[in-house]
Amino acid sequence: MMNDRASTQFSTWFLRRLIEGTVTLFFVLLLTFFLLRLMPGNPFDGDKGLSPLVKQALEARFHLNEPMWMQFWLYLKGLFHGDLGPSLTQEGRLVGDMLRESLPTSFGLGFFALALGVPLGVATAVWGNETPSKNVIGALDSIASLFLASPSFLVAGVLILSFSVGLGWLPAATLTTPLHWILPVVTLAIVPYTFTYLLLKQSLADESSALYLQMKYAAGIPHTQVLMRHLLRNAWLPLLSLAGPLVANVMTGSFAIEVLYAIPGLGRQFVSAIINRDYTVVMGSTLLYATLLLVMNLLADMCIVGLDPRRREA
Amino acid sequence: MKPQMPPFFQKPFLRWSLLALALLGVFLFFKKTESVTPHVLPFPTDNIVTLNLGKEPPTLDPLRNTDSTSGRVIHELMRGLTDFDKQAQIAPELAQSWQVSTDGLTYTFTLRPHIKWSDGKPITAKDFVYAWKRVLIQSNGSAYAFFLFSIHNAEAFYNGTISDFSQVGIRTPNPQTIEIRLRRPNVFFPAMLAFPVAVPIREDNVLAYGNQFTEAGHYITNGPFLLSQWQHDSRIILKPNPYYWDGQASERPDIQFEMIPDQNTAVTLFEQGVLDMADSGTVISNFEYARYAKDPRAKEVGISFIQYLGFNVKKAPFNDPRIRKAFCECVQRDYFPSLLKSGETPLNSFVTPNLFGYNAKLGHSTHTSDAQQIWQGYLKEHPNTKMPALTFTNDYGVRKIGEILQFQWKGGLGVNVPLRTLDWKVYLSRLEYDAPALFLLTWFVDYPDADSFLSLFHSSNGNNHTGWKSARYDALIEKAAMMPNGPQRQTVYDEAQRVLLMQDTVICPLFTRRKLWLNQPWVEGLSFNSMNDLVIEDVRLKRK
Repeated sequence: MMNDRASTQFSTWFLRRLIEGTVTLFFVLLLTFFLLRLMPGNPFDGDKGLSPLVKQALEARFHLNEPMWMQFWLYLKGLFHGDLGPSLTQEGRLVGDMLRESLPTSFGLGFFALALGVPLGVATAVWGNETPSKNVIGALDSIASLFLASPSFLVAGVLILSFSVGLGWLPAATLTTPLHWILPVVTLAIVPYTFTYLLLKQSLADESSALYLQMKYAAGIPHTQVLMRHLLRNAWLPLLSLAGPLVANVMTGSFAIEVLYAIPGLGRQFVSAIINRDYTVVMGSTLLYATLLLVMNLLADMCIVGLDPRRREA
Repeated sequence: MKPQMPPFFQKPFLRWSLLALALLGVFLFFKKTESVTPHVLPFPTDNIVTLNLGKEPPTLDPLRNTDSTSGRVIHELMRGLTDFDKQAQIAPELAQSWQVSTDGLTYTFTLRPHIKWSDGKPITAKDFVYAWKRVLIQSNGSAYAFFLFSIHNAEAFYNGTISDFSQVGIRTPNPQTIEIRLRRPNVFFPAMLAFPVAVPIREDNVLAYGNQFTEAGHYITNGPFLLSQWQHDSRIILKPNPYYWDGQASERPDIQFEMIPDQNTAVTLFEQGVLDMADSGTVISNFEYARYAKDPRAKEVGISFIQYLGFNVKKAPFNDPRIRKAFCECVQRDYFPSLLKSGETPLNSFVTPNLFGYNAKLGHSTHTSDAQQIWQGYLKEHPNTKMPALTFTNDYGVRKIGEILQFQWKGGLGVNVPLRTLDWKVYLSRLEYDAPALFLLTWFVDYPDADSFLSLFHSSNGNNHTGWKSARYDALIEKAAMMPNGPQRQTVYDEAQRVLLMQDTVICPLFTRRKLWLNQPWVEGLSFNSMNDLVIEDVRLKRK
């Protein structure tokens, strides 16, 4: 139970994190805004050049002719009213709507990938820790190394070739029916699986030799209980401290996976916005990603504090 | 002791799995090189033709259309007075006919009787005037407003020199008739009216929804289809427009455009029968072109496209026309089709063979012996010559062209030309503000006339990145624009090409391309014309 002092400490800590987060977001926006404008190129340039008059008219429409600081101020002002502005390259679409439309797809994929990858990673790491068989350990380690070394476009290509082209069991692309979700989710789950397996395996190995475990065994506590109550609880910590970036990463979509499976997600939108110099879409996506990252880090830290009493004092 | 992360290749499992992967790769590689064997796929039972659009169209507003993805969809939704047929010839569309005055300055278009919008209201001359005024209001930012500049006073209205739209040369004596007065005769004016920028728009539609009027459920269209669904970044579904003037809506299937960016995925979906057509561009990649070209279902058409090498005539050593000539003469164009293998046809001239004005005898062909002498002579005069880089956009296919040229210049002139790739937008901005000395670019015509190629190097054209200006060339291009096709116009275009390609060697055309497409056995009536337009309205589904 938290006493009053601990609760005040927690509030102070939470408030500090909140302020830090806001300041970080501001600087992320500032940096993104100015770096974007430093990139050569213009949202309106295309294969066929525009006449200078047309270009001026378009720039005026989106306030791109104003001084840089003014543009940034206008952007921030819009942001306070919850307005992320219009897309510069997709006529009539608002950045807010674009993010809202692709968010459910990316979040859905990310959620299923995490739901598949993380438990599988935990299970195999524990199995690897428990089994005496060198072959099992070798196989699990090799699979993890292989996954670690395989970029997602390769995994996606191999999966499409095997399960869709070769065996004809699963559809190759788009997200029309639940069956269509299987291949992209499996591809996306590779990262959380590998990550969970490798980290947890290492920390289980480190913890297994700790003295307090031997004490527990000596006290006659059954192995399963030691594993669940003590070993795993401590082994979680390194994994949790890196869970924030992992979750944010998986939830915001992957460019390669979205391109290969023709999925309308955040990753594809973000990359094509950069290529097309769609400043407002890049800003909106960056803001979303940064916020998600900060929130996930905060949640992870709160979990750590909950799990590890030592951290509450620190 | 628990094992740590194994060093690579130490574990037998990893070794075997890598070996298996390598074998799989080898197997797939050889499997791919076989010719295509069409699978026997079941005929579909639904009434939908599924095509790949490749990506989200940036806009469906005809005013703002500049790209071919948007153009492909807009063309099915919105039609203008004229249109291109399967042979890319100009044909009446919403206009039944038109007359030209004897001085070539006044065009009178008569609309088809009883034509209607997709909500059943009549299409009138007023809808055209509204749309054209909308295009000519500069703050609306229409990139193709210049298409209407042939109209008397249109440019002046656009620039704000005059503010009264009634002074622009457009009259509507009655709801069925549109009279257009041009500033000077222009033989390809009816072709320019086929472009999206010239289609009519319903004023009440734009007023009701602002810049969202092109969304599904809002958009009032006049073409063979109407916009039934638009799931952004994912798919567009079109349904036959029951009010389209040809009365064949009941024959037409629905059209479903998928936005599949990756060609490998798209080609898989075609092989599985999900996509009803594969075309070079959205489905068949350059790597696969040769394989699919052998398929009995394959059809090809030469398109009005040219890949060319440009010289910045203000940068040494290409400020010397002899050097430009030497570099162009070293190019052995036969290498392009055999090395690139994606439908290239070597081309010396800057007009494609499918257009009036083409002359196979124009442009430099290969004479490497002369070229080497010229280059050696130049080097003696300018011993400190530093070879600038050949610059192009960051694309695998374009890089290959660069490498072929680099190899040929090394062989023909003994010169090492460095290659430089730039991100697409960076490249475009470099071309605009500080064009590289040597660059690779493509041009695709806007309307099927030699003018759409040759006016590119008119001194007023913003897409001319060579820094070259010639009053004589300008005069020839302007003169030819006023002449009907015939031997006289051919003579003028021949002369213009002689100046551009031979006398001054401002650019060096390399090749043109063929479009390749395959329809599934149950689809008929889908084809491409030489404008790279997909002709969809005649598509029908066969039932077994």
